[in-house]
Amino acid sequence: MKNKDSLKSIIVLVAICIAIGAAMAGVNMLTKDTIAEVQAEKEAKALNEVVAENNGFEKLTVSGEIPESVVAVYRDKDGEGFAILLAAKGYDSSNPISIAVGIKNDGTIEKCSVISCTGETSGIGTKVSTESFLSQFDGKSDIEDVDTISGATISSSAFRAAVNDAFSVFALLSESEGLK
Amino acid sequence: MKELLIILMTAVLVNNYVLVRFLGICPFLGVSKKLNQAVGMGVAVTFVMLMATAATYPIYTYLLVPNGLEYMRTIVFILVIAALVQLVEIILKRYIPALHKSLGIYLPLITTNCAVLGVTINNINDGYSFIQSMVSSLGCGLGFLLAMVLFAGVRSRLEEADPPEAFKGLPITLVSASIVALSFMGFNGIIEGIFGA
Amino acid sequence: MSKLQNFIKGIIKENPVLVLVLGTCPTLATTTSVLNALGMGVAASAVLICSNMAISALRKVIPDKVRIPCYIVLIAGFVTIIEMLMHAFVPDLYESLGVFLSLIVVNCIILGRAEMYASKNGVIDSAIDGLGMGVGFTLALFLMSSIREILGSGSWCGLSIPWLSDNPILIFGMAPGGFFVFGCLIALVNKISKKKNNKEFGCHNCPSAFLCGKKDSDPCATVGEGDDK
Repeated sequence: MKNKDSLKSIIVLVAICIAIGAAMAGVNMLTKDTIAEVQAEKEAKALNEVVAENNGFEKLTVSGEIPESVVAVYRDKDGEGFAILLAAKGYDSSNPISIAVGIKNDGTIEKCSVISCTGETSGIGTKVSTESFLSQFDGKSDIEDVDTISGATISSSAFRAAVNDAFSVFALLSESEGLK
Repeated sequence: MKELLIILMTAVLVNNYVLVRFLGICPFLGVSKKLNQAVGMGVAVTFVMLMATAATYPIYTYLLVPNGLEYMRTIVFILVIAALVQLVEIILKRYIPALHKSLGIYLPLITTNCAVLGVTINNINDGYSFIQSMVSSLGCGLGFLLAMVLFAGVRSRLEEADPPEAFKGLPITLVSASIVALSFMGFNGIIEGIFGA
Repeated sequence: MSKLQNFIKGIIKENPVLVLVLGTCPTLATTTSVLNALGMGVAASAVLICSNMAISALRKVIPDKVRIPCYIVLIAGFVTIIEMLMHAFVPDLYESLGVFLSLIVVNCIILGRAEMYASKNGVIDSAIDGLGMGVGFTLALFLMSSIREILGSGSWCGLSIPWLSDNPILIFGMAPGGFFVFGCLIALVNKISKKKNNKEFGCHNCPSAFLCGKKDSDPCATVGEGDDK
């Protein structure tokens, strides 16, 4: 009798596992493409924002020592500039600030943009996505005279460090691509 | 080494699971009334966190990722943790009864503790290696223990206080937790200060 | 109990957050902004309703011995499904809730309702119970996040409020503010209900109690001492 009970327990548990597993696999199939699409769309939008005049982008593979924060490097198909996607570890290290930086061929920043900063404290760290902070970077070729935001030092210095990483990627690129 | 130390210190002080990231609040409020219980719970949580990370990290990296089953993460992790807690309890009971006597009562409560599931998921999200994950789990566990011990001290004083009627019990406990959390904000930036990162 | 009463009890008399004090982690963590809190509330409610219905429908099939693992598998499955749907259709909300979305699995409210209600009642009653509890949870989160967002960042639902948005009390958006507002809200509920039940964290409202099966021995019993229940 006891064995029969245990057997039944095991069968029910396994059956539930299989049913739930199947349901999850089904939903995963349905949503997988949408998730990938949304992600791609978001990136494309950010790329267009930071390199305004472009003719589509191609993804580059950069050789050499790439900083850890760099997610992907794109080049405008016309060869006018680069768009670099970065993840800056701010307040919540498991939910980094996602950044796009557009750098022109002459090494100056065209524009910076925040794709998402949901890990930062709302109202404090999220200030990195305000225009007054981001516009500081426009036209710069280094981060020397960019100020962090007082009260949001962690988030804004993470952002600043990530932009610096973008410059070091650009330095690698200009060597390998033979720009000036 | 320096990197591991940074992970450890960050997890204990700056990103303290209880006081900064709000994970594992239930045991924090529930079992912090007496110091010895607080220590017991804290040690048990640290232990289970380490075991859980040691078990879930390889499962995720070598079983789920290669098969494209990342979405099964939550369900697999919670089952692994539940099974692990049961297993640890049985082993302790049989072979180290003394330890079981002091820690055993806390183990079943830990199964549904969000700090343990949280640490395993966060380790994956952070992209840590196995060693880094273990260090981060240790840090989170120690941070939990630290918060429990400090708060047990605060609560023993609270017993003698006489708050307004409506604040008696849980509300005043939460307000004092708020003040302890405030003190932990002082650790912001300490890592940069020590390691010059 | 009529169906309406069953629905209402979750909102007021047995409000999971403010009266039963369950699910404290998401309550504190996701209430920095109203939109986050609403997202969390709706996601948890959806999981709660689904799991309550499924567990109630299967209550005669699931053997007593393995009921907890069965509940956990069912709940974790629904959480993952909701997570994937949110990732696909509301990606911003998905990102801002982060790990707390996965942690709905270990939310005391859901396992607690499964054990206390759905395993003993019919499918429709369980669905209504889940809906009531879900709405109660969402309302409590909404209330708390409104206070924290208005004071902490001077906005409400993302709309900035004149004057306040220039002078936000940042601490309310941070961890200490969370504990403080939650403490004050519970004190307020105590005051209004005028019941002199010095609420403590005890075994009567800890859904893990049935897991440990040691209700009468420590640590729970000593924790809940001085409790009138």
